Amino acid sequence: MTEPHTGLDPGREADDAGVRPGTHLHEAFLERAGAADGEAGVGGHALGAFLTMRLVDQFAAGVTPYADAVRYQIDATRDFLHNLTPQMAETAHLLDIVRATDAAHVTQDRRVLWGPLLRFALWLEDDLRLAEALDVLDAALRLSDGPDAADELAARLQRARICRKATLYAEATAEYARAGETARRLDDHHAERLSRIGRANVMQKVGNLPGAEEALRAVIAEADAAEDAYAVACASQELANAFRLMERPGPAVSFAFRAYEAYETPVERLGAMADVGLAFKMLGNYAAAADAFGIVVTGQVPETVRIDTIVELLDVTARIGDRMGFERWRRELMDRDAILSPDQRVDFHVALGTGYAAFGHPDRAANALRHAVATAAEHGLNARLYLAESYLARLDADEPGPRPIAARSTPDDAGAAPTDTDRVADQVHALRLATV
Amino acid sequence: MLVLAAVPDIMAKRLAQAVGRRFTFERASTWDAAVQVILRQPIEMAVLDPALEGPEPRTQEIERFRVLFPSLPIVLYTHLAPSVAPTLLRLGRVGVREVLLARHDDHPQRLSDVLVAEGARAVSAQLIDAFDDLLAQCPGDLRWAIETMIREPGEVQSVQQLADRARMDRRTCLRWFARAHLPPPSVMLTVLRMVYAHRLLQDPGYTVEDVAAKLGYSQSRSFAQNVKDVFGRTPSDIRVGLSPDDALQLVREKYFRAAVRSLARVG
Repeated sequence: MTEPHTGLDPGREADDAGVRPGTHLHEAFLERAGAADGEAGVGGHALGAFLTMRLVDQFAAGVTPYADAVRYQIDATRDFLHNLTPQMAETAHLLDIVRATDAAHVTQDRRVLWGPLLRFALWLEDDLRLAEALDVLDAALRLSDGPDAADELAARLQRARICRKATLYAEATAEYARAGETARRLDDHHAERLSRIGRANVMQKVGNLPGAEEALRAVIAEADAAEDAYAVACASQELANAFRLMERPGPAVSFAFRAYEAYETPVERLGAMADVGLAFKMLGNYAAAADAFGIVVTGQVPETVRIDTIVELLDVTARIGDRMGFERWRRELMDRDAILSPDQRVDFHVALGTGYAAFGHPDRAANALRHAVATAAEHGLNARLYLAESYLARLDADEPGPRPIAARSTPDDAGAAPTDTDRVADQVHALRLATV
Repeated sequence: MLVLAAVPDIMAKRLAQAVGRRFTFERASTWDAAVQVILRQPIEMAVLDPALEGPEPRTQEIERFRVLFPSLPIVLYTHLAPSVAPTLLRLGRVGVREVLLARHDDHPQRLSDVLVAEGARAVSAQLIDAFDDLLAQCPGDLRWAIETMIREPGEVQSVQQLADRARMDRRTCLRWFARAHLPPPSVMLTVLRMVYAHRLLQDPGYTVEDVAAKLGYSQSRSFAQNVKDVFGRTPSDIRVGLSPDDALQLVREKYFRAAVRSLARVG
């Protein structure tokens, strides 16, 4: 099996704050440089990032390098980056950082480095280079010596999110807790809510769904009262995910659509729409699910969202017996195999397994599901592990292929749901028609 | 401090220009020669270029240094190229993390910073730290001479040489030792050399004969006798059966009890 793209060791420890600046090796970039194996420009760009991060280390809190030595390093790094071919988006980010080091050097104010570093980390995160993104954030956090608390807070939230994506759950929880403390110190209620949403998300990932629900409902109530739309959107989306994992698709549809409405940026709205599709699929309303996924996959979304959506389209095509569509989406995912995160890989193989089973290939189905079980177990993805194992058990018992899970209503769902699923289905269909 | 420079000429020149006043460099142009220099000279730190013998970096050679001489601080000084990346990664994993990149961060002031910082991890620097409190009452010149004795155990071997280094006559030197409640200089010379020897013996790359030669003994037998006098055991015994902390404690109790008591009274 190909290693996860993240390049992260799940047992990885946070950087030792006591290490001297020159001794940070920025292994993630060295890994890429070493693995490039002559690929045009890739090794050079990774080395450029490595050099840039070493330069940033000279501005870490508590480091007092000689001015001439820093100037020498700035010039050398800038020259190296200018000579890189081809000049890519990454080069632009790196040059931005070098420009900021120049400004920091002149003004003696290292805070100017936060912006370009966080932007670079976000770019890496979007490109699923999670180990590199963490390395950049670690370098950024070493800049902080107190007065940069707002920047530090942003970096910690981002770092926690990346740890979560990389399934480093213990580290993600600890980082969210640190972010929450910083937010409280700054009296930043919005950020404090985001840290709680993040922690709830980790709870959900490790299978503590009731804990996640309770935490998220509390955040939504508080954010509603404070008219914090973004927190409402985030928490609603997370809650929809939790409901889906609890096999309660009704409220999942409603909360996911609420998130879609509350978000402001297209990327976030499409992410929420993907969740609407998931919930509809769980309800067995494949037409509405296909509408929702269709909106997402034709939109401008990050690669990670596109992958998730394609996995779902793979599943939907299998469930409706569309063999051509199933093959198409399977090939799309195989092409992306190297960049699948552990949870995406599990989802892909679960969908593949259920699809093969539906098309009458039990051996292939069993192989795919066993792969899913092994990956989920390896990365501590408990909820997914349970799902994959249950499908595998059904297959082993020679039961019919997995069927959509029936919608289940509980007394509190009706009160909790801000809208009903049929009305949401109509709205999604209208939106789909508008995109076509 | 004597530093092994297993780097190409141009980088050696840059090192000498940057920190030639504080460090003395012993050159080696091959890996085998570098090992011999470490075995025979009182080398305290190594600056190594993985690409010393050609464009392909030789990771295994530096890993070998790490295994043979774990107490020796190592600084990598090399040119950046994609082929160097895996080398830096592998060496980082075995604890060699201090890296200088030619034409990027080898400004003379940076070279100086890095070498001074790494030099503080050298065996002699650690011993000087360990005895720092006991030497506090000595005048500056004498203290410097004693520190030199620790740094270059093969160079200062007699009380007269110590007094000369301290720019005082032999009798004054003896008086200062008495005033600081230190053991007589001849005893102290032997004790410090044996503690240093014990540290070197912790490295698997040195034989007992290597350590004896490194400390200026012409005969291993005299060295072994001195080890026995100070630690009450043979060199082979102290190599496996005495930790650095235990060795220090033993020596402080056996030879520096008066000085420690005096310090306690002052404190």
